[in-house]
Amino acid sequence: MTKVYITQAATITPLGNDPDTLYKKLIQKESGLTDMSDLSLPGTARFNPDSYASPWAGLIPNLIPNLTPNLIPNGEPKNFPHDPVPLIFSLADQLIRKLGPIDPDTCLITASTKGGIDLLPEFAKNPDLLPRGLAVSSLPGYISQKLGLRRPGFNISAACASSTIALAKGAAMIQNGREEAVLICAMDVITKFVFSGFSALGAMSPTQAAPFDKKRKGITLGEGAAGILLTNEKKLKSIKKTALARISGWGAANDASHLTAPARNGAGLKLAITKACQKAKISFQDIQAVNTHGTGTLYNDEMELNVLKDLFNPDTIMANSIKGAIGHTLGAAGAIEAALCTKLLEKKILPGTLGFAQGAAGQIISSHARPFAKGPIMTTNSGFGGINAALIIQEVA
Amino acid sequence: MKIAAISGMGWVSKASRGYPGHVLHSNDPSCLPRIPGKEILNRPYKAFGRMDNFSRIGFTAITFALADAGITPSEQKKNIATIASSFTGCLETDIHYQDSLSRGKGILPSPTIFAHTLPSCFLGEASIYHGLTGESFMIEEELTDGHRVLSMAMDLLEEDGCDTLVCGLCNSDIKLPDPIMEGKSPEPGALFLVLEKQRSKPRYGILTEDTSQDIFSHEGKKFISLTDLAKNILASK
Repeated sequence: MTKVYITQAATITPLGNDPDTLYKKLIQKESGLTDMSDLSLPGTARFNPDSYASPWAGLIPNLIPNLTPNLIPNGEPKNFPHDPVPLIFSLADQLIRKLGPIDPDTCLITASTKGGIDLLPEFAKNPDLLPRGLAVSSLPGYISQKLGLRRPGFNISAACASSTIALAKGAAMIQNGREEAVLICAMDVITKFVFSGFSALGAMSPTQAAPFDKKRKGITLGEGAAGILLTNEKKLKSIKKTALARISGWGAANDASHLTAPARNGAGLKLAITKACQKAKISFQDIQAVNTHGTGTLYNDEMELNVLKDLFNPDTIMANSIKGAIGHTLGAAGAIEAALCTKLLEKKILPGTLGFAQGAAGQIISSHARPFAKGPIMTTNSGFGGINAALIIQEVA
Repeated sequence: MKIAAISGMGWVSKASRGYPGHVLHSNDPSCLPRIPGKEILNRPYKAFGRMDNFSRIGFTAITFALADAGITPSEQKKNIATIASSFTGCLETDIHYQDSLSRGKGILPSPTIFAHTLPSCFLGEASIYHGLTGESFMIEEELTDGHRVLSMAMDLLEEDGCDTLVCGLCNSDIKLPDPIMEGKSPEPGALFLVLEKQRSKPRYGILTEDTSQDIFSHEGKKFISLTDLAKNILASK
């Protein structure tokens, strides 16, 4: 069976711009959440949040639209130089700089829920003049062109499990021999469009999200990006990199229950975890640490806890959520958390869950960082439309 | 070489909708139809009435394809995956939501419309109505020949535990620059196939993929797009 290696992992989050900084700040219990109504904070002015259910968000400092995109000299820019540039292209530019050179034969999969939706207010009244950057389908083309890749790539949209499924599909493409290298670029940004929607749904916490806490009141939105390069062994050797970890299992399943709420019995998540463990050829008992979706909503966190209690030994399994620290980064969440998991495997420490004080989690969730003895580590995400996805990430050896 | 059996097909276009042997022609072929629930639902599903048009055409084409394959909707869970590809995504719904934001000056937007501004949501709706518990996701791409969604479907059918899936295309009637297809943007509407692991007498023949050359064939005849495949199937009936 062909092994799938995580060869490179880059992140841009409200808690720093690489997985190591993110890990350290999580261990130090730092928060990357900002009160957007506090205009004295430098680099975070985005829009007035007074109309919405919460002013809190996890923002990338100084993220502004790049109005003069610097296209690569040998690319074929086609529409982009003449089109308005969405905010997400600026985040993509930051991620591309972090990634450095990528083999042109690499297959690109992006994962974003709403791409350049910030352009919509300007164009909604004249749908005959829509710019290319508004459609999410343009995001892989933009990134591919900037990286100098031979193929345009594609975006995977599966709500908040988008990048988890993108990683699963990338891993499958390598394992079944379709590709030697797949780059997953996941990103979403804070926009009025998304902020207003979650506010209207009544899903936002008025204060910072408190995943798994008994007083939790909803999510805090965040923005961020992650780039994860997956390769087979042959490609790993040819590009002379050292693998960070392996993705050994993946699974996805639908609850077939409700559009915007999880199945109370967690049937879809259980099925996704079961598929992932079967693919990795491990038992539930082989997993000691889990990075959960942990959004801070009443029903999601309750469902996840029930699944963990049902499938694992509740006295020994430990889990966390990072969404109280950086917010819910939507389509980027799974890839940011997978990148973090490579660090957690290296350090064998699971960060505490910021915002959690007490709840019905028993020993499973803690506000403090805890050591675990060995990998693999599991990371899961769930989303609107009833989708659930799980990845098993383990040491290279 | 990868192989799958084609056991169902359903579509919604400006001109017609249905499945082979059950075709409804549109009264107004200048636009996509607003499909009434009573036309396709055989058990109550209130959410259909709240769906945006992008979700409605995708949901309907999936429902036609499953009906054609003899898979009836029920609350009994079925291990069937759903995969869709789109060029436009749900931009039409996004504009609708933006309108609701503008009308309410940002204070009272519609949560129902917002829930459908995720393009993959109609796959969730179809999963709920039909009881489909396989994985579900949307591919958004500027290369619109449908090869990507077919190759992902072929890969999924090779995995343990996935014997049947629904895959296809769904696009709004909205204009976008098409830099890769250069004027060959996909026709607005939805087209879905039911694919199964190979079986002896597939209803619409065998789909093969030569993975070394990215070539797809239907009953040994090459086709260049998913739409052409559908035309082949209809012509052979």
